[in-house]
Amino acid sequence: MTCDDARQLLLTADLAELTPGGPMPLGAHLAGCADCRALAGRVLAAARVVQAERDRPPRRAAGALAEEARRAARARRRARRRWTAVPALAAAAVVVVLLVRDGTPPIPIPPRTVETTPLVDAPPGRHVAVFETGNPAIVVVWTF
Amino acid sequence: MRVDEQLSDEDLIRRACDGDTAGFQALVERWLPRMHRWVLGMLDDPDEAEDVVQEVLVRLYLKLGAFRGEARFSTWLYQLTRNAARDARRRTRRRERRMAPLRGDELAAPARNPAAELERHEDVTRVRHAMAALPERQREVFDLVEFQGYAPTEVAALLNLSPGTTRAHLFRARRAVRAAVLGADAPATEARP
Ligand SMILES: [Zn+2]
Repeated sequence: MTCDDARQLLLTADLAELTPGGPMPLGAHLAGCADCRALAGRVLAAARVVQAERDRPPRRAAGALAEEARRAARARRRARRRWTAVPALAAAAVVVVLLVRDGTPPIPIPPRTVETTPLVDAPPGRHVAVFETGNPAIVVVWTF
Repeated sequence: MRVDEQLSDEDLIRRACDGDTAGFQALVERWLPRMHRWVLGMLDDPDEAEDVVQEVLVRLYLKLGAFRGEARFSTWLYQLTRNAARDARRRTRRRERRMAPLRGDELAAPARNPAAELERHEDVTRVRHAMAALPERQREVFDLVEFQGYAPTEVAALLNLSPGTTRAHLFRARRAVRAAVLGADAPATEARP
């Protein structure tokens, strides 16, 4: 094997093949050629630095991370529920239109396009907001 | 409370869905090291990686009930991790990120041979730059095999790619990164006697 051949192989070989005496035929060439061995050594050394970085464990232990994740997930879930409950609490100022997929919707509002298409006109002097809820069959229309 | 280490991922998921705190904790303990490496490979920023891992765990907790077992858990979790890392990257990209610092320094042993240390330091920088320029899939495959010790067949399953595609990504990525490291020294195409 020539140095040209070896250097071509160096570019794509598995890391395990880059050690002198590693799998033939590259290993045999590296064992006998200091120049190519030096190049292979540089590839390996740089890889080892990055490997060590990948192996660095997270600062917090798994138990602490899991506990915090559970807490954050529950808070997120509660916040989501609270958000969908707001229009109901402000009932006096709010008109809630429930659109049930199976029935005939009073206003045709496809849930995925409510943000971009002006499907609901606000009454004169008022504003209108349209919310999707956790239930895809229910859309809340809020005038204020 | 100690959850049996022999329990399968599916058992732990079932327990966690039933509100068993220890089940969720055991699942996190089992997968955290791998997940943390994945994120480090995706972001190459240890500080941000831990925040992303935390976010993945929140999403995992919220979505665990949606795991149906049609995909392997590892593939499903990898996808969840990938999405969270992508969201984080999108946020930080807006903040005009500086180049990743040369963290090779912190890990390297005290320099006994300053010239060799400097060369290694420069080579690691070249690896980072070359990787940053790779297409995302190539970079992922390369990082998982080269730095995280996965076999290409494992990567194919994890990323839902065919073994052939995985090998092709690996081949191209290796060639690009190593050519960048070795620079003009790489292929000895110059005329030799
Ligand atoms: Zn040679």
